[in-house]
Parts: sequence; C-alpha cells; structure tokens
Amino acid sequence: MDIRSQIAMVFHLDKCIGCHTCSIACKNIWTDRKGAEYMWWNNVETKPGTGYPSKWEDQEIYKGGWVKKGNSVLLRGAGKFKGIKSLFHNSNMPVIDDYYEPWTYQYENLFEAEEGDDQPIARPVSLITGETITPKSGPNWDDDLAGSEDYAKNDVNFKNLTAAEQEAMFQLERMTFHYLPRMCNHCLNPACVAACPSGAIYKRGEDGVVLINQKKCRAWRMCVTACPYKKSYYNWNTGKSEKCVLCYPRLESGQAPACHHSCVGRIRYIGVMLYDADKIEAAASCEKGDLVDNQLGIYVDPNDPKIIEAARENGIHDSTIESAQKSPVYRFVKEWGLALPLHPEFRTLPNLFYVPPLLPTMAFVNEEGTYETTSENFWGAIEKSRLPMSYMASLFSAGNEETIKNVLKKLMAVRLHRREETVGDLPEEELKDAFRDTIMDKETADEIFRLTSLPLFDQRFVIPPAHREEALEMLESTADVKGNSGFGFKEPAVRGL
Amino acid sequence: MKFYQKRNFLVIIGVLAFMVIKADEGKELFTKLCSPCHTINKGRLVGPDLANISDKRSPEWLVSFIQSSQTLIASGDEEANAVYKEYNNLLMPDQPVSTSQANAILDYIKNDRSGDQETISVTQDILTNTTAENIIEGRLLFSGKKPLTNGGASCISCHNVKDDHIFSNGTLAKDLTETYEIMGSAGVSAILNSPPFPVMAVTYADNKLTKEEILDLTAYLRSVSKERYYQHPADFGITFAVYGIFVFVMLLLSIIVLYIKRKKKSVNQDIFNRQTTVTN
Repeated sequence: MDIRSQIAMVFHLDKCIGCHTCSIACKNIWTDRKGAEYMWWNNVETKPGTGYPSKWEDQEIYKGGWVKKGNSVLLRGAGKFKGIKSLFHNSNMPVIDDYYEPWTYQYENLFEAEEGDDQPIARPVSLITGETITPKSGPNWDDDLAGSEDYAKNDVNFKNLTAAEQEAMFQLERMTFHYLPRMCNHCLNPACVAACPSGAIYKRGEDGVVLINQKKCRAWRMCVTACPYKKSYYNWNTGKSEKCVLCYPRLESGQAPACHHSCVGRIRYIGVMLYDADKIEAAASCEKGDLVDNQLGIYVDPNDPKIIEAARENGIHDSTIESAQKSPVYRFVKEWGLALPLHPEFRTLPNLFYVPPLLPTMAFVNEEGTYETTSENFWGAIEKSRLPMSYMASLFSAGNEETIKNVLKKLMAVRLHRREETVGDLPEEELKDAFRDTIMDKETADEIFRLTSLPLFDQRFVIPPAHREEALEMLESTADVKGNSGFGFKEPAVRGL
Repeated sequence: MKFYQKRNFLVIIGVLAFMVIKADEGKELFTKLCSPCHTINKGRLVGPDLANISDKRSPEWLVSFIQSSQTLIASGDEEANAVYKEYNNLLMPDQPVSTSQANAILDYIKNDRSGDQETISVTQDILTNTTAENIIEGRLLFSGKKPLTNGGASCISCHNVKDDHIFSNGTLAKDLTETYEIMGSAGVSAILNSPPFPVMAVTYADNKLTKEEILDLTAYLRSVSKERYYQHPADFGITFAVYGIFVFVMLLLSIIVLYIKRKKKSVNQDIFNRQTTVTN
C-alpha cells in the first residue's frame, strides 16, 4: 500500500447554468497574455456539441490518452517508434482553427475615425496576426445548441447511438442539452506527463497538481497530443506549453481556485482524496466496462485507522488526513457514489468527477404526442430520458449504462424524498421502491440534499494547509539558506537624522 | 660638375637601370610562363627550343604568337599553322602579357647564354630512378587520398585518367591519360612546377607542389599512359540513373506513407466550408 494525497474536484452538472463565469475568472488571472489568448484552461461546453477544441473527444483524430496493452497501458500518440516518425512534424495536434482564432475589436476607431457619411465601426482584428478578420468560430460557438446542424450533430459521443436514437434527439420535443464545464483533471495516470520528452511536466507530490516547468519545456508539444482532454496548450509567443495550474498559489494560501471560487451556480466542490498508488496500473489497464469501478477503488477511506497509519508513514501531514475526512469529494464520489469521471476510457484516471444531469428526465412525449412535463409515475422515468442512456454512458462511464443508471436513480430518489418532505403528494409505494432500488435511507438522502443545495462555503471547499515548508525541506536544507533571504538593506541603514 | 653633365649622368643611370629591370622582368616572365614548355638552347621540351628565335621570325609575329597563338592560327597564318602541325596539334595557351612584356621576354631569350654550357640537362629524364612506389604514391596524390603538402587541390578535382584504380573522375579539365605521351616527363614536370594554364596557375599560385610530389605525379602519369590499353573502366550506362530514380521514388513513397495518416486540416473545415457557401 502506497497512500498519497490528491486534490480532487466534483462538478454538479444539474446546478451548472452555463454562465462561463469560471472561464472568465480563469482567463483574467492566467491566460490574458500574448500567445495565450486562445487558451481556455477552464471552458464550458454544451452537450451535445463538438466542444473546444472541436471534437476533442475523438481520439481517432487527436491520438490522446492511453490504450490497453496486456496488463499495462501504452500512449496512443507517443512512444519510441511513433516519436521518431513524428520527430519533425507533430502530426495529430489541433491547429488554431480547431480551437479558434482569437480576436479583439478596433475600439479606438469608434473615437478616432475621421468624420464621414458612415457610422464608424469597431472591426474585429486577429490577436495572432493583427490583421482584420471575420471570426469563424469561438471557444463556445456551439453554446446552447447554437448551430446544432454543424456542432451538436457532430458530437463524438453519437458514435455508439443508432441512427433512430440520433434522429430522436433532434426532434424539437425531445431536444435537450446540458452544460459540461471542463478543466485539467490533474489525472492519477497523466498522459501529458508520460509523453513529455523533456521531463518538464510533473505531478506535485504533496497534492497531485500537474504542472509544466516553464524552464524545462522545449516545445515538443507531445503533451498537447497526449492529453485526451486537450487541456495542455502551446503558447506560440513564449514557445512553451501551458496548462491549468489549479491556481496553486491560491491553494497554498488556503483559497479555492478562481474558477471554483467564482462559480455562480456553486456547482464546484474541492477536497483531498487519499489513494493507493500501487493500484494505478491495474486500474488503468482493466477492461473498459470496469474502468469506473476500478478507478473509484483506488481512493481509500480516510477514516480507516490502517489507512491513516499508512498515510502517516508516507509523510502525509495530519492536517491533510483530517481534511480528507471532511472532503466533499469523498462523500460524492465514494460514500454516495454520485459522481463519475469524464471519459474514463481515456485511462488517465481523472480527478475531476461529475454528478450527471438529471433534469432532462423530467419531461417526455406522451402517447398523444404532446410534450409532458408532469408525470403520474416519477420512478422509472429515467429509462425514458430525453438523452439516451448510451449517450450519458459514453460521456461518464465508458459505455457502461448500468453505472450511469444507478447514479441517476440515486439522484432521483433524493428528489422524490425531498418532494415527499416538502409537498407530500407522492404515493408511498413509489418512494419505497426508490429507496429499495438505490439502497438508500432518508438520512443519506437528506445529507445529499444538504451538500447539493445548501452547502456552506467551507463545506464546498475543504483545502488542506499546503505545508510548503515540508515540500521545501525535501529540496534543500533550510538551515543552509537561513539569513540569506527575506528583508534586508541594499544600502546600510544609517541611524539618526 | 656642370648641370648638363649631371643630367647626362642621371639619364645614363636611368637607362641602365631600366635595362636591368627590363631584363629581370623578361627572365621572371620566361621562367613563369614559358619555361614549362620551352628552353633556350637546352633542347626541345613540349614546344621548340627558343634559342635564336628572333632571327627566325619577325618580332611582330612573335609578339602576336605569344599573346594569342590560337588567334594567329585561326587567321590562317602559314608559319603558325606549320608550327602547330609540327607539334602534334598541341595548342600553346594564350599568355596574359602586354606587348612590352612580350618584348622583354624576347630580349631575355636573345641575351640569355646560360644554356650554352649545360646542354646535357635536358637529355636526362627525371624519371630515370623512379620505382613502382612512386607510381603508387602518385596515384594517391592524384586521387586525393593523400593531400598535397602545401594544400593544393588534388588533380582529380578537375582531371580524369583511364585507370581502374580510380573511380569517379573530375570532368572540368582535360583527360590526362595521354598527356605523358604528348609532353614527356620534362613537359609534365615543368607544367606541374609552374602551371601556364590560367585556372591551374591561380589554383597552385599559393599552394606549390613539392619536388617529390611532381616526381611522383609524373611517374604516375607515365604509367597511366603506358597502361591505358589494359584498363577496363566500368561502364555503368544508365544503371546510375535507374537506381537514382528508384531511390527517389522510394523516398517519395515513404514520405507519403508518413504523411497519409497525418491530420491535414482543421476538423472544423467542413463546417467553415458549409457556412461560407450558405452566406455567399
């Protein structure tokens, strides 16, 4: 057993309102620079849709992530032979048009234009070339199903859906969408780290944040190809790759990352998870249908005395263990089994979990062909969901429909319970069925309800002290540098007037 | 001393000095340009012995022959054509000298008496004591496998010979296979010592060949000349071209194989195309 600590996240998709505040918060802090304009370390996508960069989920195009090989995994797009083949052209990378060409407007023209017959306009100019351009696409061009003929219909997750299912999704009465905020997953088995030929990318020991050393990066851009979530970006100005840093300076000072902190819908939870690093390889290389279960099996119970002992042996601070015990992520992912990783079939073991959206199951088309938002029988409506189960399974459970159904049923059970508590108009049998099917009791349902709907700030963000002093002591002897840093005088201080 | 006396004296000094300088200039030019092929009263080398040449031909004819024998021959001059035929149709290179320089050379030839005493020197072949080792050494020097001591370019850079031991010859200058037969050892060694041909002169101006190297190369050229009937240089015909094309096609194919699975355009291209056709 090799217990380590990892900062992990949960996004509750039912609560996401698609406002992009998280993206803007991140952009303002990190990527509002030359060469980084096109980067969105955090972005919000509409599903179904092609996402950003376009069709990022299609690894036939981008060759990201891992593939199973025997009892282990191999990178799909990198390796010794593949590396030599693509030494002079990195063949599967997204081009700028796959992201979008960033632009601004010539606002000064509105004030400085010479007097003429026409109204002065602010023309769009490319932030890359400086030329005037006609924007062709943006990072959320497909927002709220805009241009669904082009974008939603090309959703990569439709691959496993039958033609009839696909057509049904685009009937006006059944059409639905949900939002999918995405950021770096700070994976347990990160493909970007494995692919970097310069050894510039590393997973920080104390909290598992994946970072790119800007001094060591040599612009191979193998990480851009390797990351199946396309969350490593190349800065064309500095010639270095960049990615989400999980706002580590904020984490180290006890604050939530900017995207979490600014979230309007309060969908984001962050906390520490303890996991057993010995199980990573087996979990990453298991059969496709077992991926979710095996990944969740890596995370261990922070209340188990044996685990606590093993964690202490590995140098994990008591405060971190305490924090793991209070972690909202542990409750959502392990205790309640409500949150699932996004595209576990990429085999990177992501540490960002999503509570899948339930809302679309509330409505359906009745026998007369009219749109029905109320129902005699709530329980069982999940099967009639407007989003086919296979679509949700393609997103969150590597195609395993049972896994996603179980989660949705639990979410439904909580709702039925709350309706019974507040309205009290449900048949008793229906509620009993729900609790029996999901093996849940009223207390648990209330706890889920509380952490979902009424959490306090400190319950959503449980961030352990960073203990940078311990991390620093691993790198250098602090006694050697004592007195060599901190305040001092460039010129000797002179006493008196 | 009266003024005119003084003036006469200076004039005499000046004239004498001029004559000495002119004679020196003639000697220098002769050594550099003519001596590889000609002697004065020492016998025939590549070209004729030039002793008493001024008595046989007019000075105007001689000057124009020196400056451009080829023009003179082409103009149909009988004497010039006769000399040309007598010397196996071997053209004398055009010499880059002015009329006064040519006259200086002729003056030098007229006044030079050094050949009278040592007429034997020409008759002794410098290759008398050479062995097979000199030939091997000469081949190494010729083919550039052994660099020249003073850093000159190897012969093979420009010349070719018919020799099975040497593969891939230069094609910029003359084939040297039969040179020995035409010029003899004296001529070959003289040209190597002080090349009269413009490009070769420039090439070796600062990188002179050493005496040993000249000996080795002359010995080698003699053996080439003698052995030329027994050499069978490989005739590759169009094999080179065929192999070249084959390799080129294979290279192209391998590039195509590498390129074929490459992501060649934005995945959004189809969307952009559809949208632009709609708006336009």
